[in-house]
Amino acid sequence: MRKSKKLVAMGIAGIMAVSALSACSSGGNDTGSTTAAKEAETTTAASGGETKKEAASSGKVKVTVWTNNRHDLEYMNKVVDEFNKKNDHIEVDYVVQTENYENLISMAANSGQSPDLFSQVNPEDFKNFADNGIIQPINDYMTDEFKKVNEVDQHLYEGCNVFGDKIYWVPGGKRSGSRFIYNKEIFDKLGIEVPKKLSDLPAVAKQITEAGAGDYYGIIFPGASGPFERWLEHSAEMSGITAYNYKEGKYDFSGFKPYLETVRQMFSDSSVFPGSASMKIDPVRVQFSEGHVGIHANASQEATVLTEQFPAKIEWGVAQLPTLDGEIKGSEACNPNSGWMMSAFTEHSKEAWEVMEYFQSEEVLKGYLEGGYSLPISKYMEDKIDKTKIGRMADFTGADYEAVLPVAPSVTPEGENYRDALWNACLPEGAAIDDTIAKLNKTYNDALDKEVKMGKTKRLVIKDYDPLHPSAGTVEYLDK
Amino acid sequence: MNSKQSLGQRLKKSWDHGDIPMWLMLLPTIFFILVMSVYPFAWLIRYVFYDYNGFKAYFIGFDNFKRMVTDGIYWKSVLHTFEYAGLKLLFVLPLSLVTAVLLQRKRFGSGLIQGIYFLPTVISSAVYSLIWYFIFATYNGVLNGFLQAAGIIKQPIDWLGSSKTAMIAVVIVAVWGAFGNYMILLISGLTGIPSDVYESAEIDGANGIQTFFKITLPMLGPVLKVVIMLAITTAFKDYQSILVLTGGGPNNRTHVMFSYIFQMVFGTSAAAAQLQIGYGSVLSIVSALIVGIVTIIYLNFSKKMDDIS
Repeated sequence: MRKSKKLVAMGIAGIMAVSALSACSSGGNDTGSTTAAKEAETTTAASGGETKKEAASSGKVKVTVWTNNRHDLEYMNKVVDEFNKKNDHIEVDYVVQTENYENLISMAANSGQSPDLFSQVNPEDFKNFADNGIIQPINDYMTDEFKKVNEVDQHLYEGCNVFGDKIYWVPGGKRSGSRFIYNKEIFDKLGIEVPKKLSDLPAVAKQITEAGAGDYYGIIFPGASGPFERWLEHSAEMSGITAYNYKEGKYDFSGFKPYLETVRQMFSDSSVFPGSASMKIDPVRVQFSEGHVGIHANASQEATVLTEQFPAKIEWGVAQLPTLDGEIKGSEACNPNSGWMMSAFTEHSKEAWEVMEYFQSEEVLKGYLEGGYSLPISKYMEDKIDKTKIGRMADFTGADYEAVLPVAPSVTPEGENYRDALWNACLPEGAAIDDTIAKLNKTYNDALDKEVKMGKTKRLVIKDYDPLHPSAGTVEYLDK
Repeated sequence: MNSKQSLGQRLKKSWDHGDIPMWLMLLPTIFFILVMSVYPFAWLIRYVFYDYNGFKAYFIGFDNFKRMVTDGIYWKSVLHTFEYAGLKLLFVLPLSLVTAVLLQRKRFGSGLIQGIYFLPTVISSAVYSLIWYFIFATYNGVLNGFLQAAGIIKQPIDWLGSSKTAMIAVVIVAVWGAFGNYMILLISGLTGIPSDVYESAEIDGANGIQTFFKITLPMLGPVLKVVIMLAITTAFKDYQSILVLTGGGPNNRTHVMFSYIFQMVFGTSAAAAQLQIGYGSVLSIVSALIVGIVTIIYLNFSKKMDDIS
């Protein structure tokens, strides 16, 4: 009796162990695979990455594509389906990975399960991916047609999509710089205009708040979703102020002081929407679309957000950000996007290139840009698209003061990230502004000196840097 | 005699004693502890002397330790951890004890109320924190609306955005999320107290308060000891709901040790900063030591509780 009890207990323990192990092996890749090829993928997933790529139905080569873009999924699914129908030797498996995207790619690369293609990553990770051999240059694959449509030669940004003469990805579109998105009804009612000078902003915000009498407020910030880079940093760029002094090759945050003082002023005037300090971006958008806010700020993604995700109940307008003295003295940063990177580990680079070429072909890009998923970056595509189809995205186009800024050396300071620290200094109970700036200047420049010495990064110097033409200067990378 | 036994006989003896089945049954757990706890910890220790961003590790000697000593945000987060844990324990333990005593007897609806109080334990803390995020909203928030309607406040409070109230807000959520769990544990402890002890007390004329302090509390000692230890270790390690509610803000006011470490090792969605796995490893080890020391101190203090019953 005792023995049989033990055997039963052991049996249960054994079953638990086996079930736990099998759960571990099957739980890894719960992703949003969207094509018919998913079925083929899941049946072979258990046998590991080796066989995965051979497994596409009807003898086609499978090209796995990862993306962290969800907003264009409907369109991209159609593109992929169309490709899979038309192409006789490639089957694309298109997978959306939104959580921890860069980490997932590097983990997949380290464990031999890298996707063949993936949507481009930010400059920080781009450097890591290139330095560590996770991605490969595409120079040898690019055709004349691809170069023509994407105007490759005019969109080479050191540290963003190229290193030296190695081109790793090519942008198919861009995200605009930030704009003031304002409640037109409130502005019309009060007979006021969106300020062009930063120093005029507190008075306008105060006037709106007083008129709102608790129903609406002057301005809103997404305090918990990167408030500083949402517009303050971009307004500074337009005034010729950047965190990195390209001419001298060092960090300098002192130019941000008037911005921090302005925000503090608006907080102390109670002109900022209540609760802004802890608000995430979506609640901010909801409050704006409900008409409770005079001024909100963001880049071109708001065009689809305020028409589809949270359709605005008010009439809204888009205006250029204010600058320090009302004049534009520097370029506002915009972000090249809608590009693809090729894994250095792909066994099917020729086929992966075919897919990349299709994704950035005139036909696919036209639909993509007309769908309002991105703004055209090449003049060629700008001329090809029907601008009447892009809806409110049109409000974010045509800013001649936008450019891609040189990528400043990435460093790890012994202290807060500058965007967090500067925003904290904007808060009414935050640290003193001068102390914050002095501390950042020290921690960032100490980190830069140290990391240049370690060989982790290089000091970027552009002696003839012109903020209005950021790409025109002579770039030097120094080891000291 | 034993040395002359054959291997087969020794194995049979071990089997009959229960030694082999015990080890076989422990094997899955030992395996997972090694793989899921010991190995990651060893992996972590490797990087304490490195500047490691997940791609390339640069040897930097004791720089991570030097930085830790002067890292004001970290040491403030240690203080915040004690503040958070202290406030949470101050409210969660009496509340769970009182509700356990009130609900342990089978009365009409007591099972339902127990279920409701226990519910937060089975909901993901990320989910209920998100609900609380909206409850705490300054503009048209439920809590502010209620307090204003009751005449307690005139202006809405920026619960999560003000340095003065953010810590109170995260503690409210923590207490709400935890007391039901401890209540159930204490109820199971209470049901183990023999009813004849209460009957004797009743015959001796003890009133409710006397019964609670002279019988219930002392006899609950061993269970209470475990519950308090669990509550302490959990309170010192909490960070998930803080990340959802405030992300450590405003102005780092609600950063506790592990929320700070989490952002160091896994990054924040808002700031495109490099991961600092080496430095995060140093902080993790120091923080684990702090939690360990607190637990040992508590265990020494609580030894007396074992002597009762």
